[in-house]
Amino acid sequence: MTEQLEILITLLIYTLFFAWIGYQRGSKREAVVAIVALGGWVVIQAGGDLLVRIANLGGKFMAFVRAGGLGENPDAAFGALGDAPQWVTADQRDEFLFIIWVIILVLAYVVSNLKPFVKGSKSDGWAIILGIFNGLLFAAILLPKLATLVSPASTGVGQPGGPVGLGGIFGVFTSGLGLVRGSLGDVWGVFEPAQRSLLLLILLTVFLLLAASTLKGSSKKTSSAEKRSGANGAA
Amino acid sequence: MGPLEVTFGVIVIFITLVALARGYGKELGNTVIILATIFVLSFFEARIVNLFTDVGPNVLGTDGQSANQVLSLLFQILFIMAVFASYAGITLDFPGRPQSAPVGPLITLAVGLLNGYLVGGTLWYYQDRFQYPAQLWGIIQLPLTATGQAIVQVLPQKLFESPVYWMIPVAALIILRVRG
Repeated sequence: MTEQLEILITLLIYTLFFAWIGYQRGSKREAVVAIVALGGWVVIQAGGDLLVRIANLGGKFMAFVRAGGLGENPDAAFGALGDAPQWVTADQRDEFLFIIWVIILVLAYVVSNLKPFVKGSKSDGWAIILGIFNGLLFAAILLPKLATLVSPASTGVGQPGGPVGLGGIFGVFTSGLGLVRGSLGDVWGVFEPAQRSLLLLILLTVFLLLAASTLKGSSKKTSSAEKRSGANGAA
Repeated sequence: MGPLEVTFGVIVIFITLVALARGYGKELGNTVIILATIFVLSFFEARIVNLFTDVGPNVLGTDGQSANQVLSLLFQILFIMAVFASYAGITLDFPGRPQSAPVGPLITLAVGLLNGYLVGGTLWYYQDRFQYPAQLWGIIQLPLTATGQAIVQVLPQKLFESPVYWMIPVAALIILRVRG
């Protein structure tokens, strides 16, 4: 078994797991999580500096309040503002934004478990697709962080543990597709040309039969049409 | 005109869009006709080419290049007629309601892409088989690009050793259609 095939199997298990979770939770709840997770990540990437500034302003305000800024004589408190430490320094920026995103994500899961979202959340194909999408999104964002457990030394941008941009998120999708394509190519190479023809024939036939068998209510419709034509014939 | 794979791609996209508009219940009927036509044309290909090679120069007074043009046109017109007939008028539909989204449209997309590949690939094959006569009319541009050369290796008629293979999915689908 090649290493690529092992990675593909791991990816398939991971994807199937999230597909199953998606199916269990239903499309409405998974859509809420997907929109919040992706939207939250995009907003945090775009407006991260603003969030850091708001957090630091909050820190200043707390220092102001502690120094008696809301009391009768706030002059001393204004002096304390300059000495107040930054809550989020430039070094802590990425960690801070990541924690914000995780909190938003956890809230999204909590909120999507409320009754209005549970009601009408169908376990259909969309739920599976959204579940897989969420799984791949989490993989893109969370796996680089987890990778530091394996290689703690590397935490730069684009390195395991480093910040993940939008390019990194799309990178997981394209890498996943490339992996599937490469692995299928490897498996295809194992077969002899004559076996390939037979395999293609089987795959084509199975695909067409499966597609035709998913048409709903075909036998019922045919029989009722036959009944109608029979009745017309009798008349 | 651009590289041949662009023309091929346009045909595939066009047929896929038609499929998305019609649904896979109807498209499977087209697949049956297209597969059966590929079988019939492949089965008689060698016989027709031999006949034309024997008779053509004496009776019609054609040289090799003209013979290729005529044969390429003949096969392509026959194929297009069959494909057109499968789409026009009374068609061989598979009864029943297609699955709801997203499963139904995904199946339709897959069947549409298959039909597009079969149609575009067959037309390309009859160009490749007869030394690209469309080049003389300025419709296509040679030499083939690397992508084009890769696609030529996987054209429908080159997939199976025997054309009879094409009739197995056709037979299976017809049995399913008759059973309802």
